Amino acid sequence: MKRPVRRQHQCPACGYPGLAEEPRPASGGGSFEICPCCGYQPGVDDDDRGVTPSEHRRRWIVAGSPWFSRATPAPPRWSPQGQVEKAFGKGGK
Amino acid sequence: MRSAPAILPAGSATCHSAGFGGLVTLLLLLVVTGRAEVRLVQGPAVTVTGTNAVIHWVTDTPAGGRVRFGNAPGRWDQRAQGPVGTNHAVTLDRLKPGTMYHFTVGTARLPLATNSFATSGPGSFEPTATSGKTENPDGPQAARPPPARVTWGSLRTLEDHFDRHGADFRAASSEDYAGQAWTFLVRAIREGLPAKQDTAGVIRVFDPQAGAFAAYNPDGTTKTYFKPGRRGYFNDQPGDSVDLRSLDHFRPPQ
Ligand SMILES: [Zn+2]
Repeated sequence: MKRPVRRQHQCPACGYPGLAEEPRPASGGGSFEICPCCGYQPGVDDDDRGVTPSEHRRRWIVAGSPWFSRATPAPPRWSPQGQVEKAFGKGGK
Repeated sequence: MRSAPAILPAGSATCHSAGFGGLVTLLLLLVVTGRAEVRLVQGPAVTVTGTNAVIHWVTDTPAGGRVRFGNAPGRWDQRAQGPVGTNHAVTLDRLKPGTMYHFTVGTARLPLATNSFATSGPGSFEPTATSGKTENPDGPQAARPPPARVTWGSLRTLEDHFDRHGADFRAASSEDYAGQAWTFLVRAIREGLPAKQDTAGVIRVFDPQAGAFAAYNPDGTTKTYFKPGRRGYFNDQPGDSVDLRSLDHFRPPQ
């Protein structure tokens, strides 16, 4: 099988730009890829737990925007606030 | 032709943990603790005597003991139960001689583990008198899984999936978790568990009895493995229903 061109995708919850898969692909459902930044998992948080990306973002910010993954480190000079604002604008809504 | 074994009433199974007073306490405890998750601590072990079998197991909290059983893995068409307790012993009697039985133990709501045994007597194979080894819910025939670097789709994500979902399967490590996801696929193909394939070739599998769900890439590597909390989750997933037993090019990675 031909491998798709490697392109990175943005987390719909926190705006992290390094996801390997489209969070909600055209084939339906979620990618199941857990965002290493905020832990959001399309196909699980939304479809099973009923937590929208924006609600997850709100909770994650309230929790202090912790980096989620133990295996994937945060990028150098990572700024959660800057990332959210870049993706969703000021206030991150 | 096989005769159905008798199903025991609750009182005829033995429970070593409590007398009547203790039982009342345990029931009260259950009411107080609500739907606290019951975990398997030990077993299930089986003692076979002729055409009777006693299934033993231990749970960490008091729970009703339920055994579902039948003559094929996953086909639990008969059942027996014991009283509330932690130390469970449920007797299945008047079984067919020389016959293989597969069973799950657990509560009325929650299957905890599976095992199998054979009754004594003339039959299609040599019976085993006692079978005491613990097996995972994916059945006695499950082979040893290859390492996670072979079975997991995106290895850098495995730790995160284990951190989030490993507890659903009491996985001891990320390697164990990935191995369980692979074993689940092996069993899903063997038993023809409900499955869907979407237009990208992703396979989603659900075991309604265990409440386990997994998604696999077209090459058979695992995307995720967890227990959904929402009823209807699998039904709402995309894709067309497929029979995994007849999908020629879809195999667990080796
Ligand atoms: Zn995220």
